[in-house]
Amino acid sequence: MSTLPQFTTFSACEETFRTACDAGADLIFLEDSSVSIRHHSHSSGIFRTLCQTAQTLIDDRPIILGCNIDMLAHDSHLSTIDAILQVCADEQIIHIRIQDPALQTSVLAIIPNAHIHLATETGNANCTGHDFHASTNINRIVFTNETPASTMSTSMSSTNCEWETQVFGPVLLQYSDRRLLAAITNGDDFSPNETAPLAMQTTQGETGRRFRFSDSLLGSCMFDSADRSLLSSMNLLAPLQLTSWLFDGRGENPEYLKTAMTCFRKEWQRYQELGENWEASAILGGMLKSVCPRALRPGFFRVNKTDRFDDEPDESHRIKPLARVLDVYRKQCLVILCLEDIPTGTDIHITSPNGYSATTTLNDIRNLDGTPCEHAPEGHLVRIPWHKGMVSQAEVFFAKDCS
Amino acid sequence: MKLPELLAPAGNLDRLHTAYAFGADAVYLAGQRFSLRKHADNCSLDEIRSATAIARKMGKKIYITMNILAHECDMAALPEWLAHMEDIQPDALIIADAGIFAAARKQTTIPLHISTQASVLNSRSSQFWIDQGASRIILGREVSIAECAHLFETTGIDIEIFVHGSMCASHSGKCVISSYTAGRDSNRGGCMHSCRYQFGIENNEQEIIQQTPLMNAQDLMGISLLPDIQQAGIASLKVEGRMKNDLYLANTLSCYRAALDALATKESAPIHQLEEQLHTVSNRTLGAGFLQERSTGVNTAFEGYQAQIKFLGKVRHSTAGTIVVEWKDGAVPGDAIRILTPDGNYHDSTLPAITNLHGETVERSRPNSIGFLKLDIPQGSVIARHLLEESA
Repeated sequence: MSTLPQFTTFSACEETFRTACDAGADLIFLEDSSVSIRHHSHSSGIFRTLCQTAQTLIDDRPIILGCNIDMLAHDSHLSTIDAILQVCADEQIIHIRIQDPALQTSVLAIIPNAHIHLATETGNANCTGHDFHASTNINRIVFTNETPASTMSTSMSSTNCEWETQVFGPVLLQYSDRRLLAAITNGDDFSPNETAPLAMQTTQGETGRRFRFSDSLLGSCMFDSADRSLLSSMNLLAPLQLTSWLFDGRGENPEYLKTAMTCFRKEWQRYQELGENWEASAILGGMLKSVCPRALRPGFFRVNKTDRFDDEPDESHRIKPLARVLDVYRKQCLVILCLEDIPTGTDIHITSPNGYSATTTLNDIRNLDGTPCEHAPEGHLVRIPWHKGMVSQAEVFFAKDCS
Repeated sequence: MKLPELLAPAGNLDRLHTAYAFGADAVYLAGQRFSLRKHADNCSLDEIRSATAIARKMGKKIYITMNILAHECDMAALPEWLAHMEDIQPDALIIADAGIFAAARKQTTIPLHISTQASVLNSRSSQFWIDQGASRIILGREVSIAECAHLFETTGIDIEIFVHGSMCASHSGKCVISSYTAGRDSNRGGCMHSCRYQFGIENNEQEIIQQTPLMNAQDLMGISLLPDIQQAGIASLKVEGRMKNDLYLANTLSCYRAALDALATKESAPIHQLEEQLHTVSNRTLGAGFLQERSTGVNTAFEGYQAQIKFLGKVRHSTAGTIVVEWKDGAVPGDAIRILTPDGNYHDSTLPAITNLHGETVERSRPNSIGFLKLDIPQGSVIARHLLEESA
């Protein structure tokens, strides 16, 4: 019997924490602007208060608290991270989410019983990598949004770990240590360390697609024009039996998160009941669309065909050419740059960028001044007989290598 | 204090020769697989073998980049590729992905360098990867020299940083713009440089109030900071640009070689002059990036590339006052040219008469052909054409 995955989300203040609780979150990661990259209000210094408020608001509900430290830290940030971790230790918050896998040592130094979640945002999309991280002290891996369901399934069957993926919310396209919007809004004299948060929309001129940017103390984030939703992919999502589903409602109104959690819970239930006969509910899909101002797409969850190396011809075993044609004197000669010593009598094969090729025995090699030579030394320019169709940049190989 | 290594890009075997000739201590190049510069020439296994032999013969180093963030479908080819690398034995493999790292650690004896794509920015992260078996950390471009000094002082780790070339607006490896907007994987060699585009900033009414290339990062130039870099204990200085031409390589390496050699002999290098020379080759304006302080860091006044000279050709043969040039652009006798020689010097001149193989005069150089010039400069030199002001 399948169990509904844990519903996980984020909160940075009392208001969003209440929303998350009301929406039915099981695990809520608390954030502080000093360590959380997508947190774009200035709340530094009140993290302990937030933790204590959250503990009170939970009351007797089985909600777990965590802390999201997803910044890419410089050495100057490490003491801040340690201070936040110390608050977590004091408040008995042991679920810690990190982006830099190396921060696990910092976490364990302060919270020896920590439950560490790795959310790298990009990359980390192969099973060997998942296995590597799970072999350290990582307890949960959050699949990046480029990871297709097939890879998730393979990793889950081969590596002992908890697993999570973002099922709903904005898609982070990039983030930067630079405060991109700050520089524009405030000019060159704006200090990159100013704490003023900025949030703004932009549209890419060439395509008209609208991307959102947010600008925080820790840098800038850019989000896609569409949000990620796996609601209509429940037939792929539910059978994975992930430990947790991530709902990201940061920066959105309360209905965004509440409706999403409601719809996913109902759609999961429908899938359990209907099995192979399941089809996505138009009503639930419509409910979800009504609270999201952007298009909803599954992203790369179903398939990821971007730049697969195995889709392209592998030229790894391409033979190094003996020479390269630098000039062509029609019906007279080719001038070649020798990349290796070439003796006369060598059987060669020439391939030209325009598709022509020729195989011949090199009985006539001449220096540039036209005098014959016994062999063409590496690094030298020599003339060889002209061949029809050959153009500059044609390559010369040993014929035996091309047979 | 040890002089840092000068590490240059080599998009192919020919540029490897240029890099070594113009002063690189080491080069990094990629094979046909597992490299982020999918559209560079890149090298076959046979060429990597040759390149490694050339490096050994010259007493130089060679590192092979395998810095994609791999997907599961990429991994099937990895064991065979690593077996070839183990056989060839380059001086290091440059790796960003944890899966590739784990496989390389298991399957090869080659030193492993953590790529800048892994976004390592602090001493604990550096130590983590060293503990996992890495021998060098290529720090994120966001790390300042002062931070490098602290990192080296506290850990003694072999550090490499970028000192020159293009920069990402985002943390390297933390960008998937191309993946979502063009179906090209930013982290598997398909980056479309969408961050260089103009973006319209909107107000709350969705009216565009400003058009700006808000993510178009300025290029990096750290030559004036080399004394501080040496003091910080940084082991290797990387020049970006596997897709760039021989002129960029020759010009950049000449300048950094001169500055490093001056540092070695405790002479003062003509930094201002070298900076001016670095500005002559195509760039998006040059700045110190994050090397001195955190960068707000975008060039919001971007109006295209700026350049004073353009690659014209490479000297393929030189004897008795005559050189043979492989042309890469068109020029006519009398055009103002700059000649960069492997001894690190350059001089400005005018293009002399061009003849062909038969001694006949040629009116203008033709790209992808050769020409004969009465000049006495060494093989391997690079010739550039001065751009007219209006086309610069």
